[in-house]
Amino acid sequence: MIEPFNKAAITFDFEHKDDAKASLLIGTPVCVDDGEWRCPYQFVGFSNSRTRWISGGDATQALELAIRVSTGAFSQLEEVKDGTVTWLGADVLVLSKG
Amino acid sequence: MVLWQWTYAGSPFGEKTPASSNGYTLNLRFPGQYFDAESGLNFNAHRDFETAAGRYQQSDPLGVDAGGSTYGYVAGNPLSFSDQQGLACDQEVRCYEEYEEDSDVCRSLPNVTSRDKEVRQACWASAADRLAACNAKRLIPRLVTWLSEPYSERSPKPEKAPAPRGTVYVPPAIPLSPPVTATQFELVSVW
Repeated sequence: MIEPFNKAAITFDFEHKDDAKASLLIGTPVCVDDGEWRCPYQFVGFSNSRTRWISGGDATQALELAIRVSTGAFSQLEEVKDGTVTWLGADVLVLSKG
Repeated sequence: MVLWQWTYAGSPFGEKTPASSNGYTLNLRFPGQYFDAESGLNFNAHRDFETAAGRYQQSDPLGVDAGGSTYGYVAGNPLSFSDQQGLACDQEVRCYEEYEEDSDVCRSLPNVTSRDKEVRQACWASAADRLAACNAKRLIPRLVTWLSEPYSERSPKPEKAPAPRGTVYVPPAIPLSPPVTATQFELVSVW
């Protein structure tokens, strides 16, 4: 079951070989407890489209960690491994150089 | 005296059985598995594992939600992973389950003082780093214990810092201020 999240804070649209939609949605962090914020992310248009929640001590950290984990997970997706989906022509989702 | 030996060479999925020179029979196999001599399969809680094929005899009870290859064993990577329950063959699922366990460690930490909050933030970051590493099939020790304060601030003060068991993992610097001292990240490895 895919848990919905209210709205995406960040969206990455990838290139799909068949021009199908393939995106990474990173949601807005929500406070679930004192000292814990959770930020969701979900790959849309992939065989693995589960929503995953990443925790942090505050909203900023939860969002930052969700970006870190989700961008790292991109390279491990089946559609990326077989070359069906790419990000700027590559199989890694890099946000900045250095 | 060597009671039994189990060679790994040419046997990544446990195809070869443990050998003993004195008649001892070892029926333990991969974590969570017990060899059934009658069927020749390894009983793995929810399913039976066949070493020759490196796959399960039954489909994953969790269905495709646990991954597309419902008969596969640890995504074909027995070097790095095990499946103690015979469930969730998908590595991403397994990594996220372990992340949730790591998160429970972070949630168990106190959250009163500002220093507590710093430690919890460092714990969250470490858990996320471990999830990212697991997804990338890199091994990082599990979060088992978390030291909430440096040894130097403990009461009573120990004569010397106890030697950590297993591997000590010092996670990379966290881009959050203020930085936390490395002594807070000493973890006990279960691997």
